[in-house]
Amino acid sequence: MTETITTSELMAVTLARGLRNEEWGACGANSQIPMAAFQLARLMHAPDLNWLSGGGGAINSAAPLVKSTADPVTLDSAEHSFRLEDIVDFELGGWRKAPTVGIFGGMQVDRHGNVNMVGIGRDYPKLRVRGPGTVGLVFAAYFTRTMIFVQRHDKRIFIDEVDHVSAPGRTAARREFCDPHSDGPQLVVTPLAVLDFGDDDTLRLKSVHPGHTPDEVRKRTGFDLPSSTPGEVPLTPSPTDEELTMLRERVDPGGVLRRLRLD
Amino acid sequence: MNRRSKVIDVASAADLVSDGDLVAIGGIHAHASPMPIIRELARNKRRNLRLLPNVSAGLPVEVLVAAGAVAEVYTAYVGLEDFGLAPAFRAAAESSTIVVHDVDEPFTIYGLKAAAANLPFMPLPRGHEATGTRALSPDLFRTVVDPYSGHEHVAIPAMRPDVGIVHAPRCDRFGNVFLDGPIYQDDLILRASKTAIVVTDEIVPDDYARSGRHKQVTVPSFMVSAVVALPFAAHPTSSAGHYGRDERMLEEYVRSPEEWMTRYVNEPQDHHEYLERVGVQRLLGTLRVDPTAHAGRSEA
Repeated sequence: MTETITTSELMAVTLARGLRNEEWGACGANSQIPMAAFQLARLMHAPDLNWLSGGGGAINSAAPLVKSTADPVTLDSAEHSFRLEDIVDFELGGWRKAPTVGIFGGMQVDRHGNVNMVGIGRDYPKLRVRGPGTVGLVFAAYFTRTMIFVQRHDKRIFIDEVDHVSAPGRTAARREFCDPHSDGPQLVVTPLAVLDFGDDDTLRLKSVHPGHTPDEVRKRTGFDLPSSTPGEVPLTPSPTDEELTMLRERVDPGGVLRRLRLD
Repeated sequence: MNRRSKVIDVASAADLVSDGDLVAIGGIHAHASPMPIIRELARNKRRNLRLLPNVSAGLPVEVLVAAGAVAEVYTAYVGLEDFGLAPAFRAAAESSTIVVHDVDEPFTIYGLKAAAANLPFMPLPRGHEATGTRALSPDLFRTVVDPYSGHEHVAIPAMRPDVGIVHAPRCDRFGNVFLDGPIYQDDLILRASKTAIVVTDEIVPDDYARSGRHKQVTVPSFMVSAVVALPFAAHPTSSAGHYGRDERMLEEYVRSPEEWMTRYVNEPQDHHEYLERVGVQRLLGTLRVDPTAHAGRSEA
């Protein structure tokens, strides 16, 4: 592979490696990176991973990657289609059927992995920036586990405490109200780095992507980010030739990921 | 006596919506939205509509909010997906011109499901309490005690729209609806709404459903009040099996929403004038003529 690996491709491969065989996965809107991750994982190590392509309801779609998760073309090579009623029924109780994993992003992510999509500003409803709304982030309270991805890494998105909790992170409220099988967020993948959680349920720096430094990541994060492991922070492992071939030739022949704008 | 056709024109369909109505709108993102009626309502200056849009709504809410037709929105998500935040919705919300009820996917879907089943409310499994959403809309997310276990649960009220409007790729003139692509929440909207309107690209023959295709009928005719048949009935959103979303149209909207509203909503007198303004080349460019293009690969 001589062509440069794009950050979006590295993020998709990193998320794919985090998926397990026989899990049931779901992503939301504007989720080209998670869509690619689900498809790549099925082709690599997780052939029995089942996944839902957003609100369009396509189950196990093998369609070439498209920009909109809910595009009707995702059904053309799907095994089944869920109505939204099926999606809500299943995602409110899915952990009972199989381990479930959700991948989603948001406008703000805090040190406990809480995610906000309602808007910026605490003086509700007088928000400084009105966001789109909570959509399916509530399902983070029901999935067995989740992974967070963001297409921008700066102090506006990574803040100490979110203004509104749309998706609960690793918090006391989760321990009080959610089923003990629902573990919450485990991994955060950004355009700069990979973060995980320590024993105190707060975010740590697991690895930095090639071309970036731990110092840069910490400067662009609004809270302290200790290292996950002692010593030097490792580089995020690059995709193997096989992963990259699968990704470019079978998952995303149209180059949707390579054209994706990340900040 | 002959069976009654429910096909009416778009202006008559818009007349079924009154000021102040609770209006549900089908589709999702830039897919399967009943845009001709939305434009008609915007042009006719409907007022104080309360919208219960699909769980990830964009353009239809934008057009109605920009036209000043909206008082309240039950918002699971209003945005333009990969085209960013929804500018008219955002401005109206930030200036308190509209009331935004922050809800979520379970609220919209179970609210409609409860109405369709004639239930007063739907309880949720425990877990919702760990989010902050209930604190934003405490009148909507109340609690109820399970009379069997004694546990408290968050509840969602039945949401019965005065009018529900969805797009269907195909329909017959009696109102048997063929949602050939994703169904989204559009089956629930038709079942739950007091008046249910379908906007379709294609009217199939009268005996089409009963020629061994009853399982393809997503919603039966007696749940549908009126049918509007127009070419490119979802444009610029997509119609499964017919055409994809018109991305240039969305780009144009984001670049200059006000000009777009003038050119495509306020000035055209009817759907055909709208289509002429979009232009033949643009319309044909959205057609999905190669059925194998998205057939995917073998995983064997």
